[in-house]
Amino acid sequence: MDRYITFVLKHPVWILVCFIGITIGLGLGIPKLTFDTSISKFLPETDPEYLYYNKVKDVYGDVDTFVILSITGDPLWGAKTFSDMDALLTDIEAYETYRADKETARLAKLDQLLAAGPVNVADLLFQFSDDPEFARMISRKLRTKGITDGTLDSRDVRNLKKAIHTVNVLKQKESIDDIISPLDIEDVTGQDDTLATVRLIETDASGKRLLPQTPADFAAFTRKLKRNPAFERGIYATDEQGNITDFGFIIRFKEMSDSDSIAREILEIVDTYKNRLHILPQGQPLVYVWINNYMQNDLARLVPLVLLVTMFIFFLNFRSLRGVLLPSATLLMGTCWILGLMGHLGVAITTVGISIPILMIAVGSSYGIHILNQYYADFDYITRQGEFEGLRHSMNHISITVLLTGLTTFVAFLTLASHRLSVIREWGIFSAIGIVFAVWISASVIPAGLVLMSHKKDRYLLNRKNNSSSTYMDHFIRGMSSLSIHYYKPTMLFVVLLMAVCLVGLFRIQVETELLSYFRADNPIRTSAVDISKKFGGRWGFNILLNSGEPDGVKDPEFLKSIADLRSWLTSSENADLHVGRTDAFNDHINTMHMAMNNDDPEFYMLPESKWDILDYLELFTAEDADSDGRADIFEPYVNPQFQTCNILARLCEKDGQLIGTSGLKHIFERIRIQLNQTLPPEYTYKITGHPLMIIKSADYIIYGQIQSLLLTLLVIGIVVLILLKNLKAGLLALIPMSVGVIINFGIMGWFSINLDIATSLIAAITIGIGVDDTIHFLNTFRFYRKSGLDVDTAIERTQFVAGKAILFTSLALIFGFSVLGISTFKPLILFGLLMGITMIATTFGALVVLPAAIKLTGVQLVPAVSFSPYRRTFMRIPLPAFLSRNQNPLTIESGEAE
Amino acid sequence: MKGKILITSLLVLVFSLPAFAMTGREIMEKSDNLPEADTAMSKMIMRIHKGDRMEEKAFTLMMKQFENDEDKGLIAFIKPTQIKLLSHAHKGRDDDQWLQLSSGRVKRIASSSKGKPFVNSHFYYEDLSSVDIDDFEFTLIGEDKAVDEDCYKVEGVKTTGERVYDKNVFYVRKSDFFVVRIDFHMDGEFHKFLENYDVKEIDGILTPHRATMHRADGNGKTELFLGGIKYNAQIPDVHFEKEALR
Repeated sequence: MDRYITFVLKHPVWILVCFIGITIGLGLGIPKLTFDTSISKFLPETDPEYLYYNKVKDVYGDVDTFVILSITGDPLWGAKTFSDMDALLTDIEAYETYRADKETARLAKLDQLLAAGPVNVADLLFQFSDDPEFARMISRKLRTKGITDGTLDSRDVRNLKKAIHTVNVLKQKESIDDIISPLDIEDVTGQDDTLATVRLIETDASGKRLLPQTPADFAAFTRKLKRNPAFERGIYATDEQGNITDFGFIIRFKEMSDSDSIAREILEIVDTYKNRLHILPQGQPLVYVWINNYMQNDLARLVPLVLLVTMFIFFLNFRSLRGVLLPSATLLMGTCWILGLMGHLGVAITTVGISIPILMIAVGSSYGIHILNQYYADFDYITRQGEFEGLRHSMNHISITVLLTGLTTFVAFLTLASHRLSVIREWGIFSAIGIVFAVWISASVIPAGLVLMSHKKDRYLLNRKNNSSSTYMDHFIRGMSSLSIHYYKPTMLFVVLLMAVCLVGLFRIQVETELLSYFRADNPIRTSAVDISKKFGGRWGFNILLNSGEPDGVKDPEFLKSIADLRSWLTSSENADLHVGRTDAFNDHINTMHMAMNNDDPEFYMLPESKWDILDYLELFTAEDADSDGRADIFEPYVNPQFQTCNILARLCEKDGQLIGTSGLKHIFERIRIQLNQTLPPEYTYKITGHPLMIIKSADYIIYGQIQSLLLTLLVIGIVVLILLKNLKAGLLALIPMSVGVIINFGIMGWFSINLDIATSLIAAITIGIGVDDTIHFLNTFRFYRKSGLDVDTAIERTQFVAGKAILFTSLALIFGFSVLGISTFKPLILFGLLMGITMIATTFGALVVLPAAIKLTGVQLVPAVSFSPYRRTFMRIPLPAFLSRNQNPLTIESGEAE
Repeated sequence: MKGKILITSLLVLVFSLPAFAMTGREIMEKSDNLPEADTAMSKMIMRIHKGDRMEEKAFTLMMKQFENDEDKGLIAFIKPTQIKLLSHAHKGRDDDQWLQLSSGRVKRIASSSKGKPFVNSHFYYEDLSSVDIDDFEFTLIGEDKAVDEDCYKVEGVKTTGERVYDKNVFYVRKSDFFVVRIDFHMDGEFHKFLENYDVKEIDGILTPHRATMHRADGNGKTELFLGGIKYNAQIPDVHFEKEALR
């Protein structure tokens, strides 16, 4: 370290140029940053149940998660409402099947029009009046840029081209697998002894839907809708009198984990119809979009604020330009480096990873404060030794400490690299790398900056030294000294009682990974989930796979009857705690065909008794099998290609505005398993899977990862401290402040009903990673004073004053830095920020009060001295308060002589 | 279901005429003018290859030509069900179709499924329809080999009636104007193709004994095996009456 610091001090300009160069080089990666908001990051990708879930999705499609649009109009039965619904459906259908020739022609025409010179919006849209879907898309994209009329300038043209290109790429992906809506659904009818597959709304030769126009048309359409019981709560909803109130569009995606772009596009399309139709969008893919929007918007707003708060803390501490600029520069560099590196490496920022910049600012500030504190503390020594030599000693010592504290933080974050959820794993890895960056930058840029600046003590610190009166900080520290030295027994008793209360609270913690819990009950996102549940039986669902045990076993009426019985049980009123609002299954198609074969008599909407009938129906059912896998496309969500296993889709609904929650989900699946174990014939088997189960799995992994991470981190840090301080007792003592912080965090969570989720589960690791820094600083200084011959009480007092002040200021930076998140509008960020603030107070209290009180109580001897000590040359030069400098100044050690 | 159609789509006459400077229309007329049977009977095995599964169906087929260019056909499944499909093809209007379930119940089937698969195979009902060359515009687009035979390539675009395909490309064997392959283009893409194999002359009528409909992407095919073919046998009209299904 000495050689590196010497190099830095000898070549400060080169160092700064080099670091600025790296900042620019890595910073160029920032524009390449992408946001990965895919759901798979939150799911246990290597878990056998997750792998099975993916296999199920391969067979049946991504059917348990979908977007649902509940649509109504004023009036509902009006030609204009239907025309708007038709346009809405057409706009969404554009992302289902890509017609290369059509799109190429459109783009060519658009390019030609835009290249012809200044173009007016109205003229441009008029040119596409024969292609209303494309015209609406252009209009939509212009509106997102705030353009509704006037002439497009070159920038508008560029933006429009870019937006249209992006849409074209999205269309090529054909992200939408299927859209089920009243406007394009087919039904099988058997009226007048004639069997026919009919569209509820017929199309002309060009494929244009022939929408109902007259009251008679609407009445006929209503009859068609109500003819098939499977449509109710599927594509339409009714009021208590049975009148149709809403239509439902169900949109399924090909790959739910890659649904962000298409989900955003759908929301954008829906937004353009908000003045014409009442549309309630819901569904898990949209919930993810909304959450990400909240996160991104709030963080973009809050990160600069965190930086400002941190700079204010710098100012409070140093009251000088260098005291603000140098550490601030390191924070900016560190943030640029880590974000730029992620950009260059193509590592996208996840919903959790978005907190990394705030973490870098908060943690990096502590390194800056410690290094600059050291500079001011050693000011006289540096003056006496000569600027270069003095700085070399001073910076060398503090850099080693910063390096070691950085190492322990690095280890704490890196333990998350083994987490089963990749979103946390990535966070751990890049936070750990960020710590390395922050340490390196602080230990290089600040010394290089200091050597280039004139060596002068800033006025505030000079005044503070000359003023023997105590500051508020001194009073505060004196109070802590009193607590830990004179009242250490009551203090420890209080801590033990507090820990006991918190431990009780720990067992009250609920693990919650249900995303809607992030929103308040009156948030429109939650209320719309409740509305959708009432109308359509749920906004998401799960799969129950019943295996008949043999190929074509699904065609056996007995097997289908088992499915029918299960579906009845799932939705029966006495099983309301199952929250199943609707089920869909293969049976619906058989029932429909049976009814059609019996002249559409609703009495025959049931399973036929004869297997021959079922075989006949399946033979006659003429539907496209686009992927040629042996099943009609319409059957794909419900039966496997061998017709051996059936997939029952059960929709989960939020009843009475109550979220189901992770524990509620566990209860539901446990009850279903018990029911199936008791009632399913032995030749049949079952499996349950789906997105809600993955949420339960994620919760399990959060608990498992939390325990694993805590134990591993405490173990590793204990070992690191043991090696550093060469003292087992010191290693054990080092765990006290962190443990206090972690237990208080969990206690608060338990008693205040704050759920353990992905965001709050990171707090323990951060607490340990940051808390250990304070401990190392404290123990190191304390040991040095003890070695210097001070008694325990005096050593604690001096340590609290010398190391404690830096610890307090770094803690202030962290507490206020994280607390800024408290003004977020997004619940997880608020809780994360507030909990982090409280936990930082707890770790500071642990390091400055509990740790010395524990030393007093146990009488542990922490000698011999360590080979490094940031304060071994400097303590005499700290502007000591009067009570210390007057009475207790027994030391005669000169700077640089402590070794 | 459309027995006549199924047969006729596989039948080609054996006139071998010089074809110098012929147009697409003329080539297709020659193919269309090949003699056909008044009645036909056959046993057919259909093997549908989808995914890793092969499903076999078996049925008998009878067809008969009636006056006014109207055809009637009866398909009676033997496996996996015992469905019977009776079809009356009319010139200039929709076909009539009736269905008898295995249980004996009879239903009329609305004719609105031309673009839908026939018994879950890769054949659409449209593929089984007889081709009225007056409904098409033909263009000779070149010559190529198909099923190891030298052929004319004639592109046909349907201009009259319901159009399921954007266009068809007929591979007409130069030697006898027998259509040995048809490419089907749908939604702007090459969708699937039919090939006729083992073409043998039976009672003066060229008859393929095996036909395969392949998906263009290679993802599945349906094979048809024809056996026990009898042309111009006496088949009483009563077999094609709706009442006979009951």
